[in-house]
Amino acid sequence: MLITTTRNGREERIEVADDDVVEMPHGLLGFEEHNRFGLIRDADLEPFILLQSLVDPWVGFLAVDVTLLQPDYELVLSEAEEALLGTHLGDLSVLAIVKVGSGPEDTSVNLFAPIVISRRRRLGLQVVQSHLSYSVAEPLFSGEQSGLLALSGLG
Amino acid sequence: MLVLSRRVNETIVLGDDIRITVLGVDGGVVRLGVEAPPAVKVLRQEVLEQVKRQNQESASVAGQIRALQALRRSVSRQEGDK
Repeated sequence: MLITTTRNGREERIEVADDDVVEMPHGLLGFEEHNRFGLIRDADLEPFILLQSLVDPWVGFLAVDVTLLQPDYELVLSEAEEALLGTHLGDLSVLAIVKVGSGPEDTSVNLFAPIVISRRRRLGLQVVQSHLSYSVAEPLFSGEQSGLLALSGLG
Repeated sequence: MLVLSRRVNETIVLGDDIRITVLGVDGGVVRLGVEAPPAVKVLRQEVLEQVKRQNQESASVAGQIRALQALRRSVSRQEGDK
């Protein structure tokens, strides 16, 4: 499917696989009207993925697969969330939104409210994980996560 | 909005399996005990505001990618200086 992105600072059309177009029925917190996203996977971005809003080409989020950061991240879904996403854990991708700052030390990742995507249903939700002690802004490149520096071409 | 008055140790019940009990009142602070099934999310509202704010600060496609490229350039420059 052709989608519009502003990843290079101007609107341009790019092709993404149909499997990478995801409905987000509730949008994200603060972006409730953004209910469709394209996942842009690009060697230039690795290990990050760009979640491009299909509602507004200027809105989107860099995200990283949580398993790269926390292999034992324990996701808990409510019954309503399970009804939408299904219960097949192998089908779910858990992506954490990254906020890139001016230096590695103020670049953070939101492990508190990841985006959970059912690949089979092509459906995603931002799911608050209040049982975990993570914050919305965990340092991306410190402590346990420092291995990601090299992965990101930043080490 | 439904408004109820409760004394300490009194409870309100929501649906079949959620109970909220007033445990204590101290000055302007009310302590509540919430009993709910694990699948029910119980959140302080300000936590949702935090997530919303973090989303808003992360939402510029062009800005975030430019910042990522700048970060990579500055790190590789530092590596080159070593």
